[in-house]
Amino acid sequence: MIRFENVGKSYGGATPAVEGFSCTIPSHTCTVLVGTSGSGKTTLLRMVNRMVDPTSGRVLIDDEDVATVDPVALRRRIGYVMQSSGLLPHRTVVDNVATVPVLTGTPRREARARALDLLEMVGLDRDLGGRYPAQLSGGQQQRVGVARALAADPNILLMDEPFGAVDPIVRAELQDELARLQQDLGKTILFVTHDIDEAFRLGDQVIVLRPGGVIAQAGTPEEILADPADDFVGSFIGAGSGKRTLRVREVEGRRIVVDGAGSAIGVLDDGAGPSRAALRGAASPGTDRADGERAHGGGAHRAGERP
Amino acid sequence: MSWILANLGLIGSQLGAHLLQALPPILTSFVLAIPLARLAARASWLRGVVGVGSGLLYAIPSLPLFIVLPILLGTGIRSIANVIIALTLYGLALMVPGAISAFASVGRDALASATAQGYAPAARFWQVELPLAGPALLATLRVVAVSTVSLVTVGGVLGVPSLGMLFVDGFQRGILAEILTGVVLTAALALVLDALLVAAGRVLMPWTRAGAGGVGAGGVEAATAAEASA
Repeated sequence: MIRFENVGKSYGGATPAVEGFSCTIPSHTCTVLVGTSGSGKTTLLRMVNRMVDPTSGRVLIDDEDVATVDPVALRRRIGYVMQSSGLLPHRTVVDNVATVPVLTGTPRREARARALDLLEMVGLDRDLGGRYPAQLSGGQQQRVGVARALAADPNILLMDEPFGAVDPIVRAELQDELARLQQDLGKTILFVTHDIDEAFRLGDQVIVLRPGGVIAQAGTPEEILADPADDFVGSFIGAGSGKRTLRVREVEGRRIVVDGAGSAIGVLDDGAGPSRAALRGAASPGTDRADGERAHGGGAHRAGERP
Repeated sequence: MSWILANLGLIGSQLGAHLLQALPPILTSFVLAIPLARLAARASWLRGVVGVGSGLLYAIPSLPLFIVLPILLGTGIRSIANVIIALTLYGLALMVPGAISAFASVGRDALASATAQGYAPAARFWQVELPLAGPALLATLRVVAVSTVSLVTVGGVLGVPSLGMLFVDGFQRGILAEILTGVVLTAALALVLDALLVAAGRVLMPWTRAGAGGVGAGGVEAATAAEASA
């Protein structure tokens, strides 16, 4: 569990980057901080592994104040994935993945063997291990970034817009892959993005931030969609744009879901598929839909974006 | 040709003396430039001082410096120590600004990522920052090496033994073969050192040639990426 207690960060300017931020990130769930640039989301993320130290308040991991922990040791037990992968360009893929185990003293041969297994786990061919990051596509690099973050089997994963620099199709693949991994691994994930669809896709808990790290609304995706706290949240999630207001239209006996603009985005399936919470592998009671109907498509997976 | 064959011993000893004066400044300026540049890359005031300082240093003509240094240092005018010290200063004047841009060129993402993985500061410098600055450092070092090898010849005017003595002496005595030997050997020495540096770079920094197929199939995309980063 990660807890932010009245955390602030000021760089000496007139307005602090973050002020009075408090929240709790439950263990084994994915919490997404979503906001525009200047919302302080990356600053908050980096407070967890002490790449940024708060100027007020404190951050606790399992009730231990991170300020009392040696930052280097702390970072080695927290996985970190960043935008544009942040892989070390002078190390081969397998050595990039093996970085943290080697730093913590695992013999190199053993760390490499495990790194190859991790490549497979994130859906990459082991043969890619000998290449350099520049020889991989953007999507492959991000997968390597995820494998590297998992290498030391940390309890906590920090993800800073990890899929922000890849095209929408690859991004959707990576999101699915992460959701699948999370179902198996049950890490405590703190994920930062400016993409509300991504936040809803991955988050058990979503925290919408205003500039300065002020929480506009926190809750499950369903709660935020059902009841946006104010106009800021409403416009952020696109409630007014018609994209979130879906209607059903009968076409040749099938029920087609259309958005506010009238564009067809999917087919309504009356069968009782797995619940969203079960899909994400997270037990969050009260979020299952009771109507037994669910729409395919919508959100980040709008039919129009498919190839 | 007969002059060369008759004077192989002289040529050999001048070549040895030349190397003895060229290698220490190349090495010393490289080793000293790294901490200086690393500090200056972080502190803008120091960057200004270093920039102006190295500009001024390089503006001092070499011959007067070779004459002034013995007076300042109390060494003999024909001592090779003067040449080594003067060329180290010139080497620094070239190497430090080059090394500053080398460190500035290291991607912030890679550094932030290394920190996030749990590299301690010293390990991050040696294992990440220095290797990533490597290609740009090597480029500057090659300029320093070639320029130092040619500047050593200036000492020949003052009678400090080097390949430069061959063409000074050749001019005075009208021996064309001696002049040519000095010139050609100086150029050859510079080229050989340069080639050695390039080879060392390829061995020490294998990732810089990854796009050329050194590490198996890279594909068109990889080749393009490597070209873009080169």
